[in-house]
This record gives sequence, structure tokens and C-alpha cells, in this order.
Amino acid sequence: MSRTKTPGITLPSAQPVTRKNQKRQAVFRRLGLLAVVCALSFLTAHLIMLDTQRLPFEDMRLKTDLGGMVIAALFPLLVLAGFAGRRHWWGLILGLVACGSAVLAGLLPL
Amino acid sequence: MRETLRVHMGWLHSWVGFLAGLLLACVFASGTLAVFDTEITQWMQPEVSLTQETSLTPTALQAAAQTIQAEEGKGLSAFLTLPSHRDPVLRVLHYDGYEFVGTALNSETGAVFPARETAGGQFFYNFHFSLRGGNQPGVQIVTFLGLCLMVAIGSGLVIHIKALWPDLILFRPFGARPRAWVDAHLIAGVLFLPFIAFMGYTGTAIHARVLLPAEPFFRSHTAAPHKKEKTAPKGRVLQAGPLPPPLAPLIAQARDILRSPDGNLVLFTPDEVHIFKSDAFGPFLTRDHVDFSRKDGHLLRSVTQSPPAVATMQLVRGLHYARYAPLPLRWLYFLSGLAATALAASGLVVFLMKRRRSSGEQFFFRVAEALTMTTVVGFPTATLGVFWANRCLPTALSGRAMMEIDLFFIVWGLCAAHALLLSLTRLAASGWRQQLGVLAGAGCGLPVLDLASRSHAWGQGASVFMAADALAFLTGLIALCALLKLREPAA
Repeated sequence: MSRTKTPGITLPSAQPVTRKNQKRQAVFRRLGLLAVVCALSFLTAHLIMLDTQRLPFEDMRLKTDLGGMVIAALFPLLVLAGFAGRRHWWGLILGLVACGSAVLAGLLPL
Repeated sequence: MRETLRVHMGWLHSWVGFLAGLLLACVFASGTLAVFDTEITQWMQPEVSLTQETSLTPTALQAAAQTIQAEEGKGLSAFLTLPSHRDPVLRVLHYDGYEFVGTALNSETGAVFPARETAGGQFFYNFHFSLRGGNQPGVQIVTFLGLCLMVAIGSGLVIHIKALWPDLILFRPFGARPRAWVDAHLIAGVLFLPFIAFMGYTGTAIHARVLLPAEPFFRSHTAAPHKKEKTAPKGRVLQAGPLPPPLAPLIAQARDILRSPDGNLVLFTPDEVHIFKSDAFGPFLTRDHVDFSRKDGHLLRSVTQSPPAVATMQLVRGLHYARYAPLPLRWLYFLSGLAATALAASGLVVFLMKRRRSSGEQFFFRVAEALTMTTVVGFPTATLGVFWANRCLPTALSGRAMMEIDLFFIVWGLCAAHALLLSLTRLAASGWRQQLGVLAGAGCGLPVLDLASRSHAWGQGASVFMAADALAFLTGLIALCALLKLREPAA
């Protein structure tokens, strides 16, 4: 299992920061990261659902069904990757790449 | 504390799992019951005889057609479900905004069974995917919970990936309390992981469009407003059609084309009669159908081919809904559903146990404990309350179905109020014991009530009643064991 360290969370003992404050800061960081990752994943999922309208099927329900299958698989992966990949922010970058791809897929001609 | 991946994922698993798990446990439990929705309806309508054959007579179909026309006269869009081996009754149903309800007819004589009004198993089916809150926000909430479930499963896998094999076989029910609960959580999670992940994924995929519709959040103001055709709301008709032609030859012809011998659905529009293939025919939940003219009964068209993309979705739906499943497979779905419920419930308990020492005195912890109690004990108590209400309320009461459902929410609400009151006054342990006592009484007492009500015969076709009563009794026994265990001092 890979281990990721976040520089800055473990502060030098010389600094007068209590363990409780340290813990609270860590929780706030995690909550912030989770909120950003969730927002990005929701945006990506929404864009994917919009992109499904360009699929070559007549039935609108089928298009959204297929979009739903992609979203149900991709959303949890993006959240997990975004939350786990903190070294060099690769998780967030992955989310941004996915979101950008969804935007491009909507803009570029088929 | 070192911020390792495992610690990070553990935090995500705990919080997402707990917050979503409070409702997911109820979604799992109601989905588990919905596997036997038809059988629950049969238990709740003991007046409907289950001993008859699945054969259909023209007399019965004529009576059904007249009932359909009468329902349409009231503005209801009624349809027929033809008898099958699972449900050997001809039913005229309509959608009431939440459930499919209606009358049951004898498939040979066409006589209406004087059955009590009830939402039956349909209530649990509806609760499973919408918490009985409609598309907005009900289905949206459940779909969001499905996404949370997938995140919780993923993070749980990261935490336990090294110890998957030991988790699979290690269960110490008589170990110290936290250990036993963690073992139960892990064994349910690992052993039934494929089922839970599959059902979570398919359930989320099926309703994803409700959470994220394929419409832009911000509409352009310059775009012309889209004109909608005037359509009737779901379950209603704008105008009644003529009396349908004799249905027996149409059904015979449709069954021949669809190769579906029983249990078909027959839908009516003012101009057409649509006969659908039975959902029990196979794992593909097809919507193959044959259409006839409602005026003279001549064949209009048949739709029996599905392109691969459509077939994929049909398979996803078919495997999730399990309408194709024969009885043994249905029991397997049921047991797997129970395991998923146990996974969620044990996860909630583990979350509390891990934090009791450090945060037990905090307000939020007490609220969390009350909510857990409401989910773990209150929900099954309210569920048994529906069964009790079904036998206790007068059979001829009007609005009876709604009253059963109201009682479910009243009992659940009372459990929540009781749990909150006792948790906030530092008497949570008494709260657990009292609610478990009520659950034990309700479960163990249900077979006695069913027997005392004399609402049905115990001869042929009584397996539905015996199975339901036995499961209720088992629930009561489990609650009793938990109650006795709680009385012991902690190890």
C-alpha cells in the first residue's frame, strides 16, 4: 500500500500548538479537500450526463441510462482518487482532467 | 498522527459510512423485504385465495375489462396483471402516486375478492428507492446515498485489502463487544461484497438521471420556451376509452408471439391494448410487447427485438429487480440483503463504540446514538407495526392502506423521539433496552396475532403466512437475545 505524507500536518514540537488543534486542523483540511473533490466530481458527472445527449440513439431514456452507468462508476472513483492522491495533488489533477475531458467532449464536433 | 493513506481512507469510510449508513440501513432493509413484495401483499390480503390455478377464463377477463373501464371513468389509468405461479390472481391495478394498488379477481369466475385495502409489499418497494418521497427529493436522496455507498465500499476496500482473507473467516461473536461488532461488520462486508457492490452500482445507475438530469443547470434566457404536449399525470388518464374487445384471443395471440406463458401485463390507452412480456420470463427486464386496436382487437404491431445497448440496461434492471428469480434465488437475494443491512447496522454501532470513550459526553454523540437507535431498532419496529396494523385495523375501514403507512411513520417517529429523549438525558442504554423489548414483543407476538385473527386458513397456500410469521418471530428472538446481552456487564 502506498503511503502519502503531507508536509505541514506534523508540526515541529517547538511550536506551541496543542494536539487537539493539530487534529482539528487536519479535520478541516480533510473536509475542505472532500468538498472540493465532491464539487468537481458532481460537475464532471453533470457534464457527462449532458454529453450523453450527443449519443447516436433515438431514445432519450437510453442515453441517460448509459450516462447513469458511467456516472455511477466514475463518481466514486473520482472522489476516492481525489481524496487519496494528496502527494503533488495528483487526485485533484485527475479530477480536473476528467472534468476538462467532459467539457471538451461537449464542445468538440463528433 | 501520521497521515497515511489508510488513516485518511479510514476517516472517509467512517464519516461517509455513518452519515449515509443511517438511511442506507433502512434502504437495504426495505429492499430486502421488497424481494418478497408479492408475498407480503398476499400476507396482507388473506382474503385472496392462493389455491387457484393460473388458468384464465373469458368470463374473468370480461369482468376485468369492465373494471378497467370503470376505473378509467374515474380518471385512473388502470392495467391488468395476469395470474402467474407466484401470484395466481388476476389483478386490476392503478398507480396512486406511490404504489400500485387495486382489486384482485378470481381468475376463473371473475368475482372480486373482498380483500382488505392495503399497500402491501409495494410500500416497501417504494420506500426502498424513494423513501416514499417521490422523485424529488426521495429518489434523489437514495441515488445520492448509492454514490456514498460506493465511496464507502471503495474506502473500506483500501483499509482492509491486506486482511481480506482473515476478515472472511474470522468471527468472534463472544469476544469483547467492539471486537465482535467489527468482526460482524467485516464478515458481512467481505463475504457479500460482490452482491452489495453490484446492487449499489446498478441501483445508482438506474436512477442517476433523477439526481443529475440531462439538462443544463443554467438555461439560456434567449432560448424559446419549450412547449410541452398536454399529457396526463402518471397513473391518470385524460379520457376513458371504449370497452376493450374480448381479451382472451388477444392474450393467446400475444403469448404466442412473446413466448411468455403467464404473468403478462396488459395496459390500456384510449385507442390501443398493449400486452407485455412477463417480467418473470428471464433476467432481461424487456419491455417486449404486442399492441392491438382497442376498437376491434386487430393486431397493430409487435416489439420483440432490442438493440445491444437497450439489452444491457434491461439486464442491469433485471438483475437488480430480481423479478425473474425463482424461489431459491429469491431467498439468496433476501439473505444477501439481510447481510447488507447487517453490514450497515454493525457499521453504525462500531462508529459509536469507537468514539464513546473520547466523545461520549458530547451533544453530537448523543444525537448520533439516538439516530442509530432509530435506524437499527426503530425501523424494524415500525416495519412490524405495518404488519400489526394490517391485522388490527378494521378490514372495511376506508383509507386503510394510507392508515397503515401513516402508522409506520408514526411508530418510527415515536421511536426517534424516545431515542432522542433518553440519549439526551444520558439514558441511552435504557433506550436501547426499551426499544429492543418493544421489537422483541412485536416480532414474537405477530404469529400469535396472525393466529388469533383467524383471517385465513392454514391449509394449502399457507406457506406465505408461515414464512412471514416465522421471520417476524425470528426478528423478535434476535431482539430478545440482544436485549439479554445488553443486560450483561460489558466485557
